[in-house]
Amino acid sequence: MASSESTTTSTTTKVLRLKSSDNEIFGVEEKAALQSETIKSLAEDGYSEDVIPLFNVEKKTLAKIVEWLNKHASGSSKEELKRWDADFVDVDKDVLYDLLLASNYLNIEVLLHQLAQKVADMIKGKKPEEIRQLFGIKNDFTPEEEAEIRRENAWAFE
Amino acid sequence: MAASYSYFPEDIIIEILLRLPVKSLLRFRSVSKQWFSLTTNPKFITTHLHHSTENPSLLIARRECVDFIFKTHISLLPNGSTRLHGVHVPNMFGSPFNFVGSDGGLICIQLTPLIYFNYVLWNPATRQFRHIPKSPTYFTHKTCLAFDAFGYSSETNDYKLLLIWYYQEEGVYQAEVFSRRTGSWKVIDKPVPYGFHSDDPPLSLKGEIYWHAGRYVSGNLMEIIVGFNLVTEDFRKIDLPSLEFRSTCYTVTEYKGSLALLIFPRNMSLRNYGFELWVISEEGGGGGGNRESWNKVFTLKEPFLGISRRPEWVFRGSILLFTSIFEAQDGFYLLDPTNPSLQASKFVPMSRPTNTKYGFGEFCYNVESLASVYGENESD
Repeated sequence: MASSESTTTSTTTKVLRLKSSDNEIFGVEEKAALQSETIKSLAEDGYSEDVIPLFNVEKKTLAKIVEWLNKHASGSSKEELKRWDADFVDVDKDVLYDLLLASNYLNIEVLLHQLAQKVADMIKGKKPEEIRQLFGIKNDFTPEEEAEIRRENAWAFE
Repeated sequence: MAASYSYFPEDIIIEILLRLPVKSLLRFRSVSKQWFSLTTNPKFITTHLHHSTENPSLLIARRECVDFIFKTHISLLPNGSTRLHGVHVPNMFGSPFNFVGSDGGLICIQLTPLIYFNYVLWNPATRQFRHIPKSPTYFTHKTCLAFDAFGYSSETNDYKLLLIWYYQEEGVYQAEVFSRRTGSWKVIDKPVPYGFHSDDPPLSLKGEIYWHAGRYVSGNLMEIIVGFNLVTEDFRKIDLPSLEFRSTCYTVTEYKGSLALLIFPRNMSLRNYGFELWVISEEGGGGGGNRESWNKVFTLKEPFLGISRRPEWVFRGSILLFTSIFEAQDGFYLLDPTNPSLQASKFVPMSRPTNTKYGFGEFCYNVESLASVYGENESD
Protein backbone atom coordinates (compact mmCIF):
# COMPACT_ATOMS: atom_id res chain seq x y z
CA MET A 1 0.00 0.00 0.00
CA ALA A 2 2.47 2.65 1.05
CA SER A 3 4.90 3.09 -1.80
CA SER A 4 6.11 6.32 -3.37
CA GLU A 5 4.95 9.86 -2.77
CA SER A 6 1.26 10.46 -2.70
CA THR A 7 0.05 13.63 -4.41
CA THR A 8 -3.69 13.06 -4.05
CA THR A 9 -3.98 14.85 -0.74
CA SER A 10 -5.98 18.00 -0.21
CA THR A 11 -4.21 21.33 -0.06
CA THR A 12 -4.50 21.53 3.74
CA THR A 13 -2.70 18.25 4.47
CA LYS A 14 1.01 18.32 4.31
CA VAL A 15 2.84 15.16 3.28
CA LEU A 16 6.23 14.22 4.67
CA ARG A 17 8.55 12.02 2.66
CA LEU A 18 10.33 9.31 4.62
CA LYS A 19 13.29 7.47 3.13
CA SER A 20 14.21 3.96 4.26
CA SER A 21 17.81 2.77 4.69
CA ASP A 22 17.48 1.01 1.31
CA ASN A 23 16.34 4.25 -0.38
CA GLU A 24 12.61 3.66 -0.72
CA ILE A 25 10.55 6.83 -0.25
CA PHE A 26 7.19 6.76 1.56
CA GLY A 27 4.77 9.69 1.54
CA VAL A 28 2.97 10.06 4.87
CA GLU A 29 0.56 12.75 5.99
CA GLU A 30 2.22 14.99 8.53
CA LYS A 31 -0.42 14.28 11.18
CA ALA A 32 0.30 10.54 10.94
CA ALA A 33 4.08 10.87 10.69
CA LEU A 34 4.43 13.13 13.72
CA GLN A 35 3.35 10.31 16.03
CA SER A 36 7.03 9.44 15.77
CA GLU A 37 9.06 11.68 18.07
CA THR A 38 12.15 11.07 15.95
CA ILE A 39 10.42 12.19 12.74
CA LYS A 40 8.95 15.14 14.63
CA SER A 41 12.35 16.43 15.71
CA LEU A 42 13.85 15.80 12.25
CA ALA A 43 10.95 17.74 10.70
CA GLU A 44 11.50 20.57 13.17
CA ASP A 45 15.16 20.59 12.20
CA GLY A 46 14.16 21.63 8.68
CA TYR A 47 13.95 18.29 6.96
CA SER A 48 10.20 18.71 6.36
CA GLU A 49 10.50 20.26 2.88
CA ASP A 50 12.98 17.63 1.91
CA VAL A 51 13.19 13.86 2.24
CA ILE A 52 13.57 12.64 5.83
CA PRO A 53 16.25 9.94 5.92
CA LEU A 54 15.66 7.05 8.31
CA PHE A 55 18.98 5.23 8.20
CA ASN A 56 18.02 2.47 10.62
CA VAL A 57 14.79 1.22 9.04
CA GLU A 58 14.53 -1.04 5.98
CA LYS A 59 11.69 -0.61 3.49
CA LYS A 60 9.84 -3.80 4.47
CA THR A 61 9.74 -2.61 8.09
CA LEU A 62 9.05 1.03 7.20
CA ALA A 63 6.07 -0.10 5.08
CA LYS A 64 4.57 -1.75 8.18
CA ILE A 65 5.34 1.26 10.35
CA VAL A 66 3.69 3.62 7.85
CA GLU A 67 0.66 1.33 7.80
CA TRP A 68 0.45 1.64 11.60
CA LEU A 69 0.94 5.43 11.57
CA ASN A 70 -1.83 5.88 9.00
CA LYS A 71 -4.25 3.62 10.86
CA HIS A 72 -3.63 5.40 14.16
CA ALA A 73 -4.25 8.82 12.58
CA SER A 74 -7.41 7.71 10.78
CA GLY A 75 -9.83 8.39 13.63
CA SER A 76 -10.93 4.74 13.96
CA SER A 77 -12.96 3.80 17.00
CA LYS A 78 -11.17 2.48 20.08
CA GLU A 79 -12.64 -1.00 19.62
CA GLU A 80 -11.69 -1.18 15.96
CA LEU A 81 -8.18 0.02 16.70
CA LYS A 82 -7.80 -2.64 19.39
CA ARG A 83 -8.77 -5.41 16.94
CA TRP A 84 -6.56 -3.95 14.24
CA ASP A 85 -3.57 -3.68 16.60
CA ALA A 86 -3.96 -7.31 17.70
CA ASP A 87 -3.73 -8.39 14.03
CA PHE A 88 -0.87 -6.00 13.37
CA VAL A 89 1.42 -7.46 16.04
CA ASP A 90 0.47 -11.04 15.12
CA VAL A 91 3.56 -11.58 13.00
CA ASP A 92 6.51 -13.93 13.16
CA LYS A 93 9.39 -13.35 15.53
CA ASP A 94 11.85 -11.74 13.09
CA VAL A 95 9.28 -9.20 11.84
CA LEU A 96 8.34 -8.48 15.45
CA TYR A 97 11.98 -7.82 16.38
CA ASP A 98 12.49 -5.52 13.38
CA LEU A 99 9.34 -3.58 14.29
CA LEU A 100 10.46 -3.34 17.89
CA LEU A 101 13.86 -1.93 16.92
CA ALA A 102 12.24 0.46 14.43
CA SER A 103 9.59 1.73 16.87
CA ASN A 104 12.33 2.30 19.43
CA TYR A 105 14.50 4.19 16.91
CA LEU A 106 11.54 6.20 15.63
CA ASN A 107 10.36 6.76 19.22
CA ILE A 108 6.72 5.78 18.67
CA GLU A 109 5.82 5.09 22.28
CA VAL A 110 2.37 3.55 21.80
CA LEU A 111 3.62 1.09 19.19
CA LEU A 112 6.73 0.26 21.23
CA HIS A 113 4.51 -0.60 24.19
CA GLN A 114 2.23 -2.79 22.07
CA LEU A 115 5.17 -4.70 20.63
CA ALA A 116 6.88 -5.09 24.01
CA GLN A 117 3.62 -6.50 25.38
CA LYS A 118 3.45 -8.95 22.47
CA VAL A 119 7.00 -10.16 23.10
CA ALA A 120 6.30 -10.40 26.86
CA ASP A 121 3.20 -12.56 26.20
CA MET A 122 5.28 -14.71 23.85
CA ILE A 123 8.14 -15.36 26.29
CA LYS A 124 6.51 -15.38 29.73
CA GLY A 125 6.22 -19.18 29.94
CA LYS A 126 9.68 -19.94 28.55
CA LYS A 127 12.79 -21.38 30.19
CA PRO A 128 15.99 -19.32 30.55
CA GLU A 129 17.71 -21.47 27.89
CA GLU A 130 14.91 -20.68 25.43
CA ILE A 131 15.20 -16.98 26.25
CA ARG A 132 18.93 -17.02 25.50
CA GLN A 133 18.24 -18.68 22.15
CA LEU A 134 15.36 -16.29 21.27
CA PHE A 135 17.39 -13.17 22.03
CA GLY A 136 20.83 -14.46 21.08
CA ILE A 137 22.12 -13.94 24.62
CA LYS A 138 25.32 -15.57 25.86
CA ASN A 139 25.15 -17.19 29.29
CA ASP A 140 27.93 -15.39 31.18
CA PHE A 141 27.34 -17.07 34.56
CA THR A 142 29.63 -19.77 35.89
CA PRO A 143 27.72 -23.06 36.45
CA GLU A 144 27.96 -22.44 40.23
CA GLU A 145 26.56 -18.90 39.96
CA GLU A 146 23.70 -20.08 37.76
CA ALA A 147 22.84 -22.96 40.09
CA GLU A 148 22.82 -20.55 43.04
CA ILE A 149 20.41 -18.11 41.34
CA ARG A 150 18.15 -20.96 40.28
CA ARG A 151 18.12 -22.38 43.80
CA GLU A 152 16.94 -19.04 45.23
CA ASN A 153 13.79 -19.19 43.16
CA ALA A 154 13.44 -22.90 42.53
CA TRP A 155 9.64 -22.73 42.68
CA ALA A 156 9.56 -20.38 39.68
CA PHE A 157 10.83 -23.27 37.55
CA GLU A 158 7.96 -25.58 38.51
CA MET B 1 18.22 -20.40 11.86
CA ALA B 2 16.95 -17.17 13.32
CA ALA B 3 19.16 -14.13 13.40
CA SER B 4 20.86 -13.20 16.64
CA TYR B 5 19.29 -10.24 18.43
CA SER B 6 21.72 -9.90 21.28
CA TYR B 7 22.11 -6.33 20.10
CA PHE B 8 18.65 -5.39 21.40
CA PRO B 9 19.31 -2.16 23.26
CA GLU B 10 18.82 -2.33 27.00
CA ASP B 11 15.84 0.06 26.92
CA ILE B 12 13.91 -2.38 24.70
CA ILE B 13 14.73 -5.29 27.02
CA ILE B 14 13.48 -3.20 29.95
CA GLU B 15 10.22 -2.43 28.09
CA ILE B 16 9.68 -6.17 27.66
CA LEU B 17 10.65 -7.10 31.23
CA LEU B 18 8.28 -4.46 32.66
CA ARG B 19 5.38 -6.40 31.14
CA LEU B 20 6.27 -9.82 32.55
CA PRO B 21 4.72 -11.54 35.55
CA VAL B 22 6.89 -11.89 38.66
CA LYS B 23 7.30 -15.66 38.27
CA SER B 24 8.81 -15.22 34.79
CA LEU B 25 11.11 -12.44 36.04
CA LEU B 26 12.44 -14.63 38.88
CA ARG B 27 13.12 -17.43 36.39
CA PHE B 28 14.79 -15.07 33.90
CA ARG B 29 17.28 -13.85 36.50
CA SER B 30 19.41 -16.82 35.46
CA VAL B 31 19.45 -15.83 31.76
CA SER B 32 22.55 -13.63 32.01
CA LYS B 33 24.32 -11.17 34.29
CA GLN B 34 22.62 -8.29 32.46
CA TRP B 35 19.14 -9.75 32.99
CA PHE B 36 19.97 -10.47 36.64
CA SER B 37 21.07 -6.93 37.31
CA LEU B 38 18.09 -5.43 35.41
CA THR B 39 15.52 -7.48 37.37
CA THR B 40 17.11 -6.82 40.77
CA ASN B 41 17.52 -3.08 40.21
CA PRO B 42 15.38 -1.11 42.73
CA LYS B 43 14.34 1.43 40.09
CA PHE B 44 13.19 -1.36 37.77
CA ILE B 45 11.25 -2.99 40.63
CA THR B 46 9.43 0.28 41.37
CA THR B 47 8.62 0.91 37.68
CA HIS B 48 7.41 -2.69 37.30
CA LEU B 49 5.14 -2.18 40.33
CA HIS B 50 3.62 0.97 38.82
CA HIS B 51 3.05 -1.00 35.65
CA SER B 52 1.30 -3.84 37.50
CA THR B 53 -0.85 -1.31 39.34
CA GLU B 54 -2.67 -0.63 36.07
CA ASN B 55 -3.80 -4.25 36.04
CA PRO B 56 -4.77 -5.27 39.56
CA SER B 57 -6.42 -8.48 40.71
CA LEU B 58 -9.15 -8.78 43.30
CA LEU B 59 -7.87 -10.36 46.51
CA ILE B 60 -10.29 -12.27 48.71
CA ALA B 61 -9.19 -13.31 52.19
CA ARG B 62 -11.58 -15.53 54.09
CA ARG B 63 -11.68 -18.01 56.90
CA GLU B 64 -13.21 -21.38 56.55
CA CYS B 65 -14.00 -23.99 59.11
CA VAL B 66 -13.61 -27.54 57.88
CA ASP B 67 -13.89 -30.39 60.40
CA PHE B 68 -13.54 -27.92 63.29
CA ILE B 69 -10.26 -26.56 61.90
CA PHE B 70 -10.13 -22.93 60.85
CA LYS B 71 -8.08 -22.05 57.84
CA THR B 72 -7.44 -18.73 56.07
CA HIS B 73 -7.68 -18.82 52.31
CA ILE B 74 -6.30 -16.15 50.02
CA SER B 75 -7.55 -16.20 46.46
CA LEU B 76 -7.11 -13.87 43.52
CA LEU B 77 -9.40 -12.95 40.67
CA PRO B 78 -7.27 -11.66 37.77
CA ASN B 79 -8.67 -8.65 35.95
CA GLY B 80 -11.11 -9.75 33.24
CA SER B 81 -11.28 -13.34 34.50
CA THR B 82 -14.13 -15.20 36.19
CA ARG B 83 -11.93 -17.94 37.68
CA LEU B 84 -10.39 -17.60 41.12
CA HIS B 85 -6.77 -18.66 41.67
CA GLY B 86 -5.50 -19.94 44.99
CA VAL B 87 -2.42 -18.22 46.46
CA HIS B 88 0.48 -20.27 47.82
CA VAL B 89 0.60 -19.69 51.57
CA PRO B 90 3.88 -20.57 53.35
CA ASN B 91 3.44 -23.48 55.78
CA MET B 92 4.90 -21.59 58.72
CA PHE B 93 1.97 -19.12 58.65
CA GLY B 94 -0.11 -21.88 60.25
CA SER B 95 -3.81 -21.31 60.29
CA PRO B 96 -5.86 -19.34 60.64
CA PHE B 97 -4.21 -15.93 60.32
CA ASN B 98 -5.67 -12.45 60.22
CA PHE B 99 -5.54 -10.50 57.01
CA VAL B 100 -4.52 -6.89 57.70
CA GLY B 101 -4.20 -5.48 54.19
CA SER B 102 -2.59 -5.65 50.76
CA ASP B 103 -1.08 -2.77 48.83
CA GLY B 104 1.78 -2.15 46.41
CA GLY B 105 2.44 -5.87 45.97
CA LEU B 106 2.91 -6.67 49.66
CA ILE B 107 0.44 -8.23 52.07
CA CYS B 108 0.43 -7.67 55.81
CA ILE B 109 -0.99 -10.43 57.98
CA GLN B 110 -1.11 -11.23 61.67
CA LEU B 111 -0.31 -14.79 62.64
CA THR B 112 -1.91 -16.58 65.55
CA PRO B 113 -1.60 -16.76 68.49
CA LEU B 114 -2.39 -13.08 68.73
CA ILE B 115 -0.89 -12.73 72.22
CA TYR B 116 2.55 -12.52 70.58
CA PHE B 117 3.54 -9.71 68.29
CA ASN B 118 3.01 -11.66 65.13
CA TYR B 119 2.77 -9.26 62.20
CA VAL B 120 4.28 -10.56 58.97
CA LEU B 121 5.06 -8.72 55.75
CA TRP B 122 4.62 -11.03 52.79
CA ASN B 123 5.11 -10.82 49.03
CA PRO B 124 2.93 -13.62 47.62
CA ALA B 125 4.39 -13.18 44.11
CA THR B 126 8.02 -13.79 45.20
CA ARG B 127 6.99 -15.90 48.25
CA GLN B 128 9.30 -13.79 50.43
CA PHE B 129 8.18 -12.92 53.97
CA ARG B 130 9.54 -11.52 57.21
CA HIS B 131 8.36 -10.82 60.75
CA ILE B 132 7.84 -7.17 61.56
CA PRO B 133 9.89 -6.24 64.66
CA LYS B 134 7.94 -5.91 67.87
CA SER B 135 6.38 -2.52 68.46
CA PRO B 136 7.82 -0.69 71.52
CA THR B 137 4.30 0.00 72.81
CA TYR B 138 3.38 -3.64 72.79
CA PHE B 139 2.69 -4.81 76.35
CA THR B 140 4.60 -1.91 77.88
CA HIS B 141 1.45 -0.21 79.13
CA LYS B 142 -2.05 -1.26 79.88
CA THR B 143 -2.92 -1.07 76.25
CA CYS B 144 -5.09 -2.96 73.89
CA LEU B 145 -5.02 -2.87 70.14
CA ALA B 146 -7.95 -0.93 68.72
CA PHE B 147 -7.15 -0.98 65.04
CA ASP B 148 -4.60 -2.05 62.44
CA ALA B 149 -4.21 -1.18 58.76
CA PHE B 150 -1.60 -1.42 56.04
CA GLY B 151 -0.87 0.73 52.99
CA TYR B 152 1.62 1.80 50.33
CA SER B 153 2.53 5.23 49.07
CA SER B 154 4.00 5.42 45.56
CA GLU B 155 5.17 8.96 46.31
CA THR B 156 7.68 7.72 48.91
CA ASN B 157 7.75 4.07 47.75
CA ASP B 158 7.16 3.09 51.35
CA TYR B 159 4.90 0.56 53.04
CA LYS B 160 3.45 1.28 56.45
CA LEU B 161 1.66 -0.70 59.11
CA LEU B 162 -0.56 1.54 61.26
CA LEU B 163 -1.57 0.41 64.75
CA ILE B 164 -3.91 2.30 67.04
CA TRP B 165 -3.57 1.47 70.72
CA TYR B 166 -6.14 2.18 73.42
CA TYR B 167 -4.73 3.17 76.81
CA GLN B 168 -7.36 1.79 79.14
CA GLU B 169 -6.53 3.84 82.24
CA GLU B 170 -6.21 7.17 80.49
CA GLY B 171 -8.98 6.40 78.02
CA VAL B 172 -6.96 7.72 75.09
CA TYR B 173 -5.93 6.39 71.72
CA GLN B 174 -2.46 6.58 70.26
CA ALA B 175 -1.18 5.69 66.81
CA GLU B 176 2.09 4.01 65.94
CA VAL B 177 3.55 3.31 62.52
CA PHE B 178 6.07 0.81 61.19
CA SER B 179 7.80 1.86 57.98
CA ARG B 180 9.42 -0.65 55.62
CA ARG B 181 11.83 2.05 54.45
CA THR B 182 13.28 2.71 57.90
CA GLY B 183 12.60 -0.75 59.31
CA SER B 184 11.48 0.83 62.58
CA TRP B 185 8.50 2.01 64.60
CA LYS B 186 7.45 5.57 65.33
CA VAL B 187 4.79 6.97 67.63
CA ILE B 188 2.48 9.41 65.85
CA ASP B 189 2.28 12.48 68.04
CA LYS B 190 -1.12 13.58 66.81
CA PRO B 191 -4.53 12.98 68.34
CA VAL B 192 -6.43 10.07 66.82
CA PRO B 193 -9.87 11.25 65.77
CA TYR B 194 -12.63 8.86 66.80
CA GLY B 195 -11.40 5.80 68.58
CA PHE B 196 -14.16 3.32 68.01
CA HIS B 197 -13.67 1.39 64.79
CA SER B 198 -16.06 -0.76 62.89
CA ASP B 199 -15.25 -4.32 61.90
CA ASP B 200 -15.23 -3.34 58.24
CA PRO B 201 -11.77 -3.62 56.70
CA PRO B 202 -10.02 -0.33 55.90
CA LEU B 203 -9.18 0.81 52.39
CA SER B 204 -5.74 1.88 51.22
CA LEU B 205 -6.00 4.15 48.21
CA LYS B 206 -3.41 6.44 46.61
CA GLY B 207 -1.26 6.84 49.70
CA GLU B 208 -4.08 7.24 52.20
CA ILE B 209 -5.82 4.70 54.46
CA TYR B 210 -9.54 5.18 55.11
CA TRP B 211 -11.80 3.53 57.62
CA HIS B 212 -15.22 3.91 59.13
CA ALA B 213 -15.06 5.09 62.73
CA GLY B 214 -17.38 6.40 65.38
CA ARG B 215 -17.77 7.64 68.95
CA TYR B 216 -20.55 8.24 71.42
CA VAL B 217 -21.31 11.89 72.13
CA SER B 218 -23.84 12.16 74.98
CA GLY B 219 -25.32 8.82 74.13
CA ASN B 220 -25.51 9.37 70.39
CA LEU B 221 -23.29 7.49 67.97
CA MET B 222 -21.37 9.91 65.75
CA GLU B 223 -19.84 8.27 62.72
CA ILE B 224 -17.24 9.46 60.23
CA ILE B 225 -14.61 8.26 57.82
CA VAL B 226 -11.06 8.73 59.06
CA GLY B 227 -8.26 9.23 56.57
CA PHE B 228 -4.60 8.63 57.42
CA ASN B 229 -2.06 10.07 55.02
CA LEU B 230 0.87 7.64 54.66
CA VAL B 231 3.27 10.41 53.60
CA THR B 232 2.48 13.22 56.04
CA GLU B 233 1.11 10.86 58.74
CA ASP B 234 -1.78 13.26 59.30
CA PHE B 235 -5.28 12.20 60.21
CA ARG B 236 -8.32 13.81 58.68
CA LYS B 237 -12.03 13.51 59.26
CA ILE B 238 -14.45 13.06 56.41
CA ASP B 239 -18.14 13.50 57.10
CA LEU B 240 -20.47 10.78 55.90
CA PRO B 241 -23.10 11.64 53.31
CA SER B 242 -26.44 12.68 54.75
CA LEU B 243 -28.89 9.85 54.20
CA GLU B 244 -32.65 9.52 54.21
CA PHE B 245 -32.49 6.59 56.59
CA ARG B 246 -30.59 6.16 59.82
CA SER B 247 -28.91 3.06 61.21
CA THR B 248 -26.84 1.97 58.31
CA CYS B 249 -23.91 -0.24 57.42
CA TYR B 250 -21.02 1.25 55.51
CA THR B 251 -18.37 -0.48 53.48
CA VAL B 252 -15.40 1.68 52.53
CA THR B 253 -14.40 0.96 48.95
CA GLU B 254 -13.14 2.53 45.74
CA TYR B 255 -15.02 3.57 42.61
CA LYS B 256 -13.22 4.85 39.49
CA GLY B 257 -10.17 5.90 41.48
CA SER B 258 -12.07 7.71 44.25
CA LEU B 259 -13.05 6.87 47.79
CA ALA B 260 -16.54 5.34 47.77
CA LEU B 261 -19.08 3.94 50.22
CA LEU B 262 -21.48 1.07 49.87
CA ILE B 263 -24.38 1.89 52.14
CA PHE B 264 -27.20 -0.40 53.12
CA PRO B 265 -29.77 -0.20 55.89
CA ARG B 266 -29.33 -2.19 59.06
CA ASN B 267 -32.88 -1.29 59.99
CA MET B 268 -35.21 -4.25 59.51
CA SER B 269 -38.10 -2.06 58.46
CA LEU B 270 -36.05 -1.22 55.38
CA ARG B 271 -35.20 -4.84 54.64
CA ASN B 272 -36.67 -4.59 51.17
CA TYR B 273 -34.33 -1.78 50.32
CA GLY B 274 -31.20 -2.67 48.34
CA PHE B 275 -28.17 -0.45 48.71
CA GLU B 276 -26.56 2.78 47.58
CA LEU B 277 -23.12 3.58 46.16
CA TRP B 278 -21.72 7.02 47.06
CA VAL B 279 -18.54 8.51 45.68
CA ILE B 280 -16.52 11.37 47.11
CA SER B 281 -15.44 14.31 45.04
CA GLU B 282 -12.73 16.44 46.50
CA GLU B 283 -12.34 20.09 45.71
CA GLY B 284 -9.19 22.04 46.32
CA GLY B 285 -6.78 19.89 44.37
CA GLY B 286 -6.21 17.12 46.89
CA GLY B 287 -3.77 19.10 49.07
CA GLY B 288 -4.67 21.03 52.19
CA GLY B 289 -8.05 22.55 52.81
CA ASN B 290 -10.05 19.79 51.18
CA ARG B 291 -13.75 20.19 50.91
CA GLU B 292 -15.33 16.84 50.30
CA SER B 293 -18.77 16.27 48.90
CA TRP B 294 -20.53 12.99 48.31
CA ASN B 295 -22.46 12.04 45.21
CA LYS B 296 -24.82 9.11 45.00
CA VAL B 297 -23.93 7.26 41.81
CA PHE B 298 -26.15 4.22 42.15
CA THR B 299 -29.23 3.08 44.04
CA LEU B 300 -30.68 -0.40 44.08
CA LYS B 301 -34.23 0.13 45.31
CA GLU B 302 -35.16 -3.51 45.58
CA PRO B 303 -32.74 -6.32 46.35
CA PHE B 304 -32.25 -8.95 43.67
CA LEU B 305 -33.99 -12.26 44.25
CA GLY B 306 -31.62 -14.94 45.53
CA ILE B 307 -28.82 -12.44 46.15
CA SER B 308 -27.43 -11.41 49.51
CA ARG B 309 -28.71 -7.94 50.45
CA ARG B 310 -25.30 -6.82 51.54
CA PRO B 311 -23.02 -5.62 48.72
CA GLU B 312 -19.49 -6.71 49.57
CA TRP B 313 -17.10 -4.50 47.64
CA VAL B 314 -16.39 -2.73 44.35
CA PHE B 315 -13.81 -4.15 41.96
CA ARG B 316 -12.87 -2.08 38.92
CA GLY B 317 -16.23 -0.33 38.88
CA SER B 318 -18.32 -3.47 39.45
CA ILE B 319 -20.21 -4.23 42.67
CA LEU B 320 -19.65 -7.67 44.22
CA LEU B 321 -22.91 -9.36 45.12
CA PHE B 322 -22.92 -12.85 46.59
CA THR B 323 -25.69 -15.35 46.03
CA SER B 324 -27.75 -15.78 49.16
CA ILE B 325 -27.24 -18.80 51.38
CA PHE B 326 -30.50 -20.30 50.17
CA GLU B 327 -29.29 -20.52 46.59
CA ALA B 328 -27.76 -23.70 45.18
CA GLN B 329 -25.08 -21.80 43.27
CA ASP B 330 -22.19 -20.41 45.32
CA GLY B 331 -20.36 -17.34 44.11
CA PHE B 332 -20.68 -13.67 43.33
CA TYR B 333 -21.85 -11.40 40.55
CA LEU B 334 -19.89 -8.40 39.32
CA LEU B 335 -22.66 -5.86 38.79
CA ASP B 336 -21.97 -2.90 36.54
CA PRO B 337 -23.87 0.10 38.01
CA THR B 338 -24.35 1.54 34.52
CA ASN B 339 -26.11 -1.66 33.43
CA PRO B 340 -27.52 -3.09 36.65
CA SER B 341 -28.95 -6.45 35.66
CA LEU B 342 -27.79 -9.88 36.83
CA GLN B 343 -28.08 -11.21 33.27
CA ALA B 344 -25.49 -8.67 32.11
CA SER B 345 -23.16 -9.38 35.07
CA LYS B 346 -20.20 -11.71 35.15
CA PHE B 347 -20.56 -14.57 37.62
CA VAL B 348 -17.57 -15.88 39.58
CA PRO B 349 -18.12 -19.31 41.16
CA MET B 350 -16.71 -19.59 44.67
CA SER B 351 -17.39 -22.11 47.40
CA ARG B 352 -19.27 -20.42 50.18
CA PRO B 353 -17.32 -20.00 53.39
CA THR B 354 -18.96 -21.84 56.25
CA ASN B 355 -17.77 -19.46 58.91
CA THR B 356 -16.30 -16.04 58.46
CA LYS B 357 -15.63 -13.10 60.68
CA TYR B 358 -16.60 -10.49 58.15
CA GLY B 359 -19.45 -11.85 56.08
CA PHE B 360 -18.07 -13.43 52.97
CA GLY B 361 -14.51 -12.33 53.51
CA GLU B 362 -12.27 -9.33 53.12
CA PHE B 363 -11.63 -7.77 49.76
CA CYS B 364 -8.96 -5.55 48.33
CA TYR B 365 -6.90 -4.84 45.25
CA ASN B 366 -3.73 -6.85 44.75
CA VAL B 367 -0.85 -6.21 42.37
CA GLU B 368 2.12 -8.35 41.43
CA SER B 369 5.49 -6.97 42.37
CA LEU B 370 9.11 -7.89 42.99
CA ALA B 371 9.04 -5.50 45.98
CA SER B 372 11.19 -6.68 48.86
CA VAL B 373 9.70 -7.13 52.32
CA TYR B 374 12.87 -5.50 53.66
CA GLY B 375 13.62 -1.80 53.57
CA GLU B 376 16.59 -0.21 51.88
CA ASN B 377 18.59 -0.12 55.12
CA GLU B 378 17.98 -3.72 56.05
CA SER B 379 19.36 -6.90 54.57
CA ASP B 380 17.64 -10.23 54.10
